[in-house]
Amino acid sequence: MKKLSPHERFELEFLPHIEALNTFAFHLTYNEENAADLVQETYLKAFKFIDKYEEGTNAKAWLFKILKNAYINDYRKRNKRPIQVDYEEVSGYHDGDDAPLASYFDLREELFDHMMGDEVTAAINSLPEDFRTVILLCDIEDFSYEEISKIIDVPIGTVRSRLFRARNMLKEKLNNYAKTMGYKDHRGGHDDQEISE
Amino acid sequence: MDQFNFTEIRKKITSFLDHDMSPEDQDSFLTQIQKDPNSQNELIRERLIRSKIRENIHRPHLSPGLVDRIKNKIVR
Repeated sequence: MKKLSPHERFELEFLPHIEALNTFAFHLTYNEENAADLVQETYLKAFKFIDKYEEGTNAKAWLFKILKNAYINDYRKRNKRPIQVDYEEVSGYHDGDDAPLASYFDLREELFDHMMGDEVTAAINSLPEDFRTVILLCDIEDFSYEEISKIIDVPIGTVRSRLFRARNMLKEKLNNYAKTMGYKDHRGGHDDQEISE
Repeated sequence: MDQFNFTEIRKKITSFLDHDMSPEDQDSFLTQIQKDPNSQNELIRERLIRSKIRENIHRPHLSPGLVDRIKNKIVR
């Protein structure tokens, strides 16, 4: 099989992920212009180190890792934005390997019929950065725990526990939104219902 | 199904949707869930909620000319 030139590989394997990277960058920086700069920086770095990339492997995960590192090492320092953690919000959060699996089981799909889209974005963007990141990588981009672990450089158990906390926070925010909109849950409050007898 | 089994099914659904299962566990989960319509409904519902979140998140348009700017910066 013909070996691709770096430029061909760049176009065929890297550029198709630009929209996903742009969405991720936007939700890290909260700004479209800064997101575009971060994406550009990511691609320039990817090209510079293209010889480190193994052809045919996970280009998307590799690009996301570069973007996340560029955000931490360059963008955040340049913009003097320290990590912001709301300790009230993350109380009880731990990075152990034994956290339960996370889910959205208690959310109702009807809730989304009353949303314009902005509410989901606002709820995700209001999460502390570490939690927002795992939601974006897992629930929006569909990366596996292993891929996320490599992208953000933390053990898989930490990915799992962050995701658990993040989904709970997101669920709470969306449910609060539903309450402010006067949405009522007509199920009769049976979160502990049994699936089958 | 008792509460313990219900919690276990929910854990498995999450694990399945998060690609956190071995291929063998996936097969066994899918066989198990086929026999239980209520569990199937839970899987469908959890999947639907996730797709709603995915559909509703803001995805900004690419800045015009971004791809060309990137290509131009790569020295040939």
